[in-house]
Amino acid sequence: MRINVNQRVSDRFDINMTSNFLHSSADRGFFNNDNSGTTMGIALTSTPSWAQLQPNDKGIYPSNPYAPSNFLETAALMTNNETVNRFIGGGLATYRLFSTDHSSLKAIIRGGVDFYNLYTRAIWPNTLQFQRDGNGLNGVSVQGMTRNMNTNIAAFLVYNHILDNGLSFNTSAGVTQENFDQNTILGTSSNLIGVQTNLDQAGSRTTEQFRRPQTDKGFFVQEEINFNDMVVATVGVRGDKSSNNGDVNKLYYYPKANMAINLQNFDFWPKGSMLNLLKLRVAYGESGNFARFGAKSTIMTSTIVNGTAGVNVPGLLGNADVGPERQKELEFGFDVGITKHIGLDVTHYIKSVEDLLLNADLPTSSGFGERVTNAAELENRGWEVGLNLAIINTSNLRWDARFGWWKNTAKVTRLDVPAFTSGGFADFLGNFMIKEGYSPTTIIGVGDKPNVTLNGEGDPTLQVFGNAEPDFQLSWSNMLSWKNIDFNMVWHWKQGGKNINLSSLLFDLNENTHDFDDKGLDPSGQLANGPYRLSQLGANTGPYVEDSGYIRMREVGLYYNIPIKNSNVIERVRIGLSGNNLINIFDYNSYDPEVSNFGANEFSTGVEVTPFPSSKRWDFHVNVTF
Amino acid sequence: MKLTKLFFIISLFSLAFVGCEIDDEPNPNGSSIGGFNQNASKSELQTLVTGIEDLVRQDFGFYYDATAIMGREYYFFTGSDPRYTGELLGKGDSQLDNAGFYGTRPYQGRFRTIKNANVLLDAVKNSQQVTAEEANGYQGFAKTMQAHEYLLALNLQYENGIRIDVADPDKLGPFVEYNAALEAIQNLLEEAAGHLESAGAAFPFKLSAAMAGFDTPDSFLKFNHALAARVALYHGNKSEAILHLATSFMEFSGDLNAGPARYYSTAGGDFANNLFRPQDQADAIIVHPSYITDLTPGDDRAAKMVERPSGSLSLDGLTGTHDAWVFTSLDAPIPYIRNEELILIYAEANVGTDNNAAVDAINTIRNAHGISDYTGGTSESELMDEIMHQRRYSLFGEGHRWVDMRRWNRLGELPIDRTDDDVWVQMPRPVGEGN
Repeated sequence: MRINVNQRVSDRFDINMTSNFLHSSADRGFFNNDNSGTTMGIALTSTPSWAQLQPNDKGIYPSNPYAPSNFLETAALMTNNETVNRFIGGGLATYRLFSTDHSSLKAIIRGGVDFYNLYTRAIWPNTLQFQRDGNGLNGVSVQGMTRNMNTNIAAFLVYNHILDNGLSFNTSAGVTQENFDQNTILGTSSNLIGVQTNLDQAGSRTTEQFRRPQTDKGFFVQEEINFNDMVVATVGVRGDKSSNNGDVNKLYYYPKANMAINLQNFDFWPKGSMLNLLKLRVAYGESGNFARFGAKSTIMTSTIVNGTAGVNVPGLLGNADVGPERQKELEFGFDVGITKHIGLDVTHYIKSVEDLLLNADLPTSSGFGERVTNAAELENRGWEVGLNLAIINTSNLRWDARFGWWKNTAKVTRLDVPAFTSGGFADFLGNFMIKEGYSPTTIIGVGDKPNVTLNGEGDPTLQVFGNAEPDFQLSWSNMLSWKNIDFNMVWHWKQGGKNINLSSLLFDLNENTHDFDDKGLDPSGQLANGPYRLSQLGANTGPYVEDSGYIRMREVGLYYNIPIKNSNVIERVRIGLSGNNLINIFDYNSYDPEVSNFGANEFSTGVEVTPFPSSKRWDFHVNVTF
Repeated sequence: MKLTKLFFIISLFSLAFVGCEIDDEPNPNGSSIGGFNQNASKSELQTLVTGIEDLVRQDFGFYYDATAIMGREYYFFTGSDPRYTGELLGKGDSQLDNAGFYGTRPYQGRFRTIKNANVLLDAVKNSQQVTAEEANGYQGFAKTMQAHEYLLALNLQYENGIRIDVADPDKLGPFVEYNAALEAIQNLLEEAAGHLESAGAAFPFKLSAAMAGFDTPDSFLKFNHALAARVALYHGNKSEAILHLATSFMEFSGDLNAGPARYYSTAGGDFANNLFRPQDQADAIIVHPSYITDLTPGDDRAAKMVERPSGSLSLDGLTGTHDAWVFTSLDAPIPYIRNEELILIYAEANVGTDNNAAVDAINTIRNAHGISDYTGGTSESELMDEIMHQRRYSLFGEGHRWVDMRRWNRLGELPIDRTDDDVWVQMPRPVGEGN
């Protein structure tokens, strides 16, 4: 629900308010890695196709004799829901201090609020196989409330000055402040009373709370110069400080500058040329990412032993010197327009991250596991090419298409801590190597042709099996309209990039892989695929590192605009049907190559352990505009 | 114009607001580690003591599982991790991984306890709220617990050695080789004993119910000596072991299970014994078949091995018929050291010097488990064979077999189940520890 209000108070004074309220509720499954075999995915790997898991006529599910859980039962009886109520509001007040033909000065105050309440509820009833009969905790109910309030305020002055020769200056300067305040309370109850799920209806209860206050402050100054839209250039600098940094009042400065030249606006450009746009652009900018909340201090964790409260040294050792990481980006490219049918944009970027924040492992004999450290430098170089085509453009039929092609290569250019592996479960199961001179998404493992050593000069101990980063990606979107019918379709092609497929390993261990008895993988031709892969376990990671390229139809939709005649009330009615992820083409040995067991972690993508696949979805649409 | 004025006031206010300093507020989510060094109260010290009693449990299950698997006491059949039947048994060409959880986590867990105890030691030193006598109580407790945890870490690392000086995370001490580390642990126990001897009649802190009978300086000192006896035996100082046993809680006629223990509970916020696994499951701890074959008829230690009603279970080329049943509930305590082990240490330490005393101790164990007196030969090697057998069954699943076979130089006698399996001598030094 959105409401936007613009109010012109006087000639000089405007107020603009926006507000947006969102309510959403999402049900989730129970997936990814676990060591107890209770998640649906892990249980699936050990369950053969002939297992009888359907409920009897009284609706009671049998125990799964092949796994600690019956996933049909789990899916039917468990709850994992997130409900969000969110309000986003903003206001912008503009006051024109003076205004002449050539110059104006405005004062602007902008403020915003983002408030949300998140309610999470995960319930495993005590009738589930892994909760009943002493097999577990006799039912678990986990419920959490998060109250989050982010506010921001900025005040700035904007001065505009236009000279007679067409040169214009736009100067702005201001200050900003952002406040974050998050408070999460999570209750976990087990040993549930009957079918009750309230947190107090249980024999065992625990509570956790996490608060995250953060304040960021800063200022900025910027000058934009425009010469008749022929040349547009900007220079600016901002300074930021944050309560998350070790030194909370140290300002970090980030300059930026960019320039664009629109050649088609110059006098020498032939009028009426087919080439109606040729823009050259170059931009340089620096920006910062503050350290994560809590990185600077060592905060004991709490515990209970026999009713007495205790404190433990935490895994994370605080770093009192932690600062922001600095991203520097140099980008240049050009835009071309040929007639009104073809648009092309090409960009090359070099993006480096200095003082990269990473959780550097500590020797665990220190009692700690890691410390957030500004310990590395990363460089990304890449190309982005976009091609817009108006293929058909007649009064009845219109077809627009856009191709987007992009490629990125990353490299660790500095590492102040010893090289390490991270992101996976273990080196022999495939892991990512963070080492100077290598891509941070390099997948290593064990193998018979080791070609890299983590640290030192010794014989190579690890073998590189590829890179999670794709060779390139291409998206192709289409909009077609014919009379009252609209059709759209988006394809995505990811070429190359490897995944660490541990679902396949788990299926293999339980001799349940679909290709277990097929042949073809073993170079000596002796073993079937499953036994071959297993025979390599611990000695050769190769069989579980797979190409995760795919071609996927992300979206397709067909809409009909019902013609409305003679209505003062209804402006437009549109109905339609759309689908997501309907077509997937890949060679990857699991059900979805687009996965990450650990979420979008900095150094870990593409580790698969029986994830919930990207869902195929059909949506039916009715839009009425009044 | 009123509005204009208002607007300017708001502008100025917001500018001032934004321009001012950020306060460096303390993190609201817990006590900061440095806070304990500022004249800590007894209730703050108590939280550190309790933290130690918690940390001895953290990542500890991996220690028993890994040592039992490598020592061929039991298998862990699970669909969720191939390493229990792979690397730990040296399947095929596989090697132990220096980043594998089975080695890194029990190691890291022990050093967390040691760190917590170091925080406690510092806090006590900087507190004016405890008397000298009370301070001795804290120190005796903290150092004994540290010695215990160093010993477990050393058992895993063996000839790799361990660091003993770990007080400053930015300046960790060197790795100390096995024998020197044993000496350092023995010295620490001795220091702790000195504290305990002048700690008065009661501790100024409370311990969990699993420490009942060992929760005063006097009785805790008996635990300290029991550990010292174990360390001495590992070090080959048999006479020293016997001396320590005399001042420990060893009691021939006493409960074999008596001993200080880690506390487990399913109460909210507490920690359940994760070595308890329900019987007859698909994911199971399966007794190594050799234990079933070698069991003496009538031995009541058979209760630790329960035949599976659903029949045998196989995984990865291994098969077994019995579930291990050592920890029988989620709140079963796990002893640090038990009377039964002390009697067995006594037996072993007397072999060669007082074989009759050794036989007496052996018979105490045998009779307690429903089997008759020892009738075998009394040569040193025959007695050692018998003691090995008794230790194997008495301490089944409690982290001893692999360590024992190693110190007796008999790892080569452990059964190999698959052609290319290996018996490991020690865990690799965890990745990230450096040299």
